[in-house]
Amino acid sequence: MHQDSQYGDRHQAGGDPSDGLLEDLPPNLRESLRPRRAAPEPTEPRGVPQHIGARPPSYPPAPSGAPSVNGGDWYGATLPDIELDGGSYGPLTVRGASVRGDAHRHLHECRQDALGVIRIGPTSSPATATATDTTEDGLLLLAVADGVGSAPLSHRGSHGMVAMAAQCLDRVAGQLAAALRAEDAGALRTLVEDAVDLAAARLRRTRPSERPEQYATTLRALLVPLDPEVRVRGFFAVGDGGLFRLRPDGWHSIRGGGPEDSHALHSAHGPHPSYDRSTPHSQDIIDTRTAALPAAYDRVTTSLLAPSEPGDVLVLCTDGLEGPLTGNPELRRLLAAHWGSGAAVPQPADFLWQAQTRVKSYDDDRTVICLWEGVAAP
Amino acid sequence: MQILPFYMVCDESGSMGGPPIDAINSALPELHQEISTNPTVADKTRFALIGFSDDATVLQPLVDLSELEELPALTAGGITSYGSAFHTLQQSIEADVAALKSEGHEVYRPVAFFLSDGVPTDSGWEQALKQLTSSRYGPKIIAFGIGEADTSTISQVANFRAFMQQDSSVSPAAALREFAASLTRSIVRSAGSIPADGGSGFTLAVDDTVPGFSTVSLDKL
Repeated sequence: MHQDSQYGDRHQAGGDPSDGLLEDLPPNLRESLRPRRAAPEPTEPRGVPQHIGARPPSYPPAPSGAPSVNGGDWYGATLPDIELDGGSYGPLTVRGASVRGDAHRHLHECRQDALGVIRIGPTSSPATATATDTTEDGLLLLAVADGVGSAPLSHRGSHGMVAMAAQCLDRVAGQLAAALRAEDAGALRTLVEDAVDLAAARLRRTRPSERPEQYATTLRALLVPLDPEVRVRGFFAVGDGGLFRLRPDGWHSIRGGGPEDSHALHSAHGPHPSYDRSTPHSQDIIDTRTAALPAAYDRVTTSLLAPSEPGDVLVLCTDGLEGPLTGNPELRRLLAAHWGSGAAVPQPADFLWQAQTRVKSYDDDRTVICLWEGVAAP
Repeated sequence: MQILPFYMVCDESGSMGGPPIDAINSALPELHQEISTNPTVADKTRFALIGFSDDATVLQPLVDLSELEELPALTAGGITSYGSAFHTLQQSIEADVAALKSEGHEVYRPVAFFLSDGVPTDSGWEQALKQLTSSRYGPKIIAFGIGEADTSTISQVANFRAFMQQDSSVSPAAALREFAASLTRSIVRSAGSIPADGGSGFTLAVDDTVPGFSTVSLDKL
């Protein structure tokens, strides 16, 4: 049961904990960034996910019925209730989880959210790197997609869109890495818009007999250069969902669409980003409409995020988590304690447990990816 | 929390006396049971009951049905003042939504079920309806015509769906219960693939049919 101390506290362990990615850096940078420490030894079994508020949701806290293959949707029937993923790249650590919402479980419908933690671009393993090849052009694509609830095949759209976007971004990964290295927002926007438009067109070609609104989906993603010297990350999105930067002073919501424009989530009852602001009569009422791929969108929102600081955590999520996170200050406090500064990077199973924290009335699919930036070496 | 305020607005005029109102009263416990025990509905719905005849009365203020023992009963008598019904509904919605928001809740656009068996006896009800539907939290109205109700009036009241009773053996309340479950389930999954800057519609993918009722087309939609 004992955890090997080498993994219990990576930055104190011997050898290079960064899988070779730090090797070619200048000594000052190599010494300055380390992965955030990993989780300590367990103290208690996890059990049912915690809930916020006086009473938990009325639904049972675990998967109930799976969708039946007899419904004719074999693809939906094979989608797992939960997906869990993660990785570590140099100073970066990633955890991602996608969990079917209570309502879909109750109705024996499949999860419509999709999750992607995908390595794109050229690979440079320590075995193949040459002495002169010191440029790391690899990228991490961190993507979440939320199949539009009223669309019957949106689970195909969300999973398909993540895969197609990865393919189309991979084709231009070198240019994307160069744009991020140069902090060239214009080049990033052009490359991402073209890739997402192409991905949407390809998705449509795979489903010629269906109308695009039948498999409509959102998509939001981070493009993370694996070169530890590059501290800016690219962000793009079509449709609703959330992106937050978690810092010692709390949650900062990032809207995207230009230079990083974030606002702190401090107020308990602050405005909800998904509130409709488009018509005077629908002010302050939840608006469930969203732009969606592959056809119901005007443009891809793209932005170059401000350079990450050591210890930052970027939290990318579908509206299944963005809703309760924005609406419930207690959930924000709890997840900041789990994921924020000072906390160790949770092990995957713990991350899943934390990501499932329950809040009554929020019963949608929930997908979240956390990127822990490296911390300053002591 | 995310809350859907759900208003049932029932005609209590004299013509509803006897079997029509008895049927609704006898089905209210079932509606209560469905809403309070189906987690898809119970966790995010608040329910209110308004009765109207000469005047309109909030018989049950907006409440979490899982915390309520019993719904009040309807009592028939008097004439049919639609104007009072719409006015009282608007006042209730405005006060309730403000209260929910001040408690930190997020609120879905309210939904109102309107049941009537007759023709409005007041003048000026159209103006009250217009004020209601164009107000800040104007509800989505689903209108049910029972018995002798006038189809064109029922379709005029509705801004989302309208149904006319076809088969008097089907209790309007039983039909309501079925429709309520479908409606609230659909709100759970109602993201619409509409560009964020286009239109002001409220996407609901609800059943177009209710057993025992015919669906009235709403030309204005």
